[in-house]
Amino acid sequence: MTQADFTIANQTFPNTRTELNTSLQALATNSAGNDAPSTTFPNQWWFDSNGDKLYMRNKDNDAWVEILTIGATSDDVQSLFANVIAEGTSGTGVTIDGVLLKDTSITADALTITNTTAPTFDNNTHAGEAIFIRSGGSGGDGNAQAVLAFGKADSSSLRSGSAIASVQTNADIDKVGLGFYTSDGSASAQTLDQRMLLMHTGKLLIGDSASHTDDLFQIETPSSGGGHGIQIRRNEANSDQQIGTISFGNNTDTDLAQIVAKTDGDGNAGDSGALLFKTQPTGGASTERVRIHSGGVMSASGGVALGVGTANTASNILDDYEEGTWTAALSGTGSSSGQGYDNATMQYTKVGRMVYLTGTLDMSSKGTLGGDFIKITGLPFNPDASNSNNYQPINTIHFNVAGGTAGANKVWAVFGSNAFMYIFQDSNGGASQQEPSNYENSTIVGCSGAYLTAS
Amino acid sequence: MAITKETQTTKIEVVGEYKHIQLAEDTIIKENGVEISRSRHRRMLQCSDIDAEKKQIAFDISTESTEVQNVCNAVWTDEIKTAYANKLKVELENLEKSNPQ
Repeated sequence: MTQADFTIANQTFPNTRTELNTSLQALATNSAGNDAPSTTFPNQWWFDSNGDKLYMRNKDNDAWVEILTIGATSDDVQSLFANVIAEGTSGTGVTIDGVLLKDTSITADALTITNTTAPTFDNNTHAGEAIFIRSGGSGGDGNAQAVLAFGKADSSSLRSGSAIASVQTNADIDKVGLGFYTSDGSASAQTLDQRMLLMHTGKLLIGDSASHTDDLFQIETPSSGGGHGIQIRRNEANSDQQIGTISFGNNTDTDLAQIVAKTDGDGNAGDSGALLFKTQPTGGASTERVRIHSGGVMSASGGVALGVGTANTASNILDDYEEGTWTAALSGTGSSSGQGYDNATMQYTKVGRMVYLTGTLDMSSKGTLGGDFIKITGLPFNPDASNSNNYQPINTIHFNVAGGTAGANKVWAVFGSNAFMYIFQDSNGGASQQEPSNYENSTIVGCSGAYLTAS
Repeated sequence: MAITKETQTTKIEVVGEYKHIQLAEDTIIKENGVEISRSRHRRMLQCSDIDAEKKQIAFDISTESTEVQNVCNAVWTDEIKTAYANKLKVELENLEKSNPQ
């Protein structure tokens, strides 16, 4: 530990030599001592042997600036620039260019920066900011500032592979967003390209640096080289399981409408998907309304309003379609027994309220028919009874009936709320209701026609 | 490869003023348990009927499943049965007037 006043007195040569050696040793040891040198100079070094700290005298020669602290036994730098910016002061602080911070003894965190002030996000005072970084460059729409870059594994060249930067996203220099940059080229040295931009408005753009719509989220797929849009996936392979949901809500409810994807539940290996659309009525719960099945069929539980734009007036809603069979049977209006048929299975197609019937009733025996008249039972749907005109005729063609061709001009008629049809014969002066004797054991009837149901 | 066939009553609907029962019965063909075909057959059960003298008689549901019978018995009140029988009787009488024997 040697300190000196660095002034050589006018004295004998041996004393001069001694004072020169003392001054040189003081320079060599940075004026090491437990106390600060009594004689100071601007920009002078002093190593505090007691505190293991290295100080530098300021240029005004009125204060010591702490530069670093060395461990008393570990021989490493334990703090650096401890007083770079004094607490509670404001100003430009200290600019550090090209500083390499490396502490191989710290493996979890290479650098920890702590600011005990609560963040205010006041960009003028910077209160609470742990890091504030700046780069060079000028203002301008799209210009980047303050690049925070991340390295890639070309350890010998130490190039950056990705970066985050502050980006001006408007002609107004005060409107600034955040850009994300990656390197996708095969060259080891390349310019990073912007891939995602969070604009000053909160819009998030992926794949493009310009917003083309008023939407908050924009994805632009590349013009070539593949690439799609958004992938929502589930890390399972069940055959009947929800995969993902896009929900729409507001301050009242979070699930006003939803689009849901799921596996189709059709018994396969989970490789078929269905798309579900849900809406929520006032006071109700979100309910599935439309499903597009994996095979392409679309189910619309509430029906489809046709020809009325976006209105859903009841008279324009097609809410039912069904195909199937029904079994026709000849009966007396009083009783019936012993009827036999070579064919009695008929077809129906229901479209909305309309039921279309077709088929052939081929009798092998008309059996015993009680009552004054005959009827055909087995209608598939309840006929509408709201129309005061009950007669909804079904066209028929009759073969092998009593009376030959004169008796073949018959129709079946649907009456409201009846599960059967009466049988009439057209004749001059009006239709006449048919009796058991008008059908034969071998009567064949082809029918085709439609009637309305109540719903 | 196992092909199976089964019949399910997929809809039991109570419809109209006279509480007719609309039945939808599906025939389902399955291959190894996976449905490969489905066809539908429809029929209706009416709550009552009339005989040759136009007197109310019961509509026979004895061959129906217990589930269907339970629905029928739950909704077919005596008032409903009588109302429908009367409707059929009036209907026939009106037809007879226009079709004198």
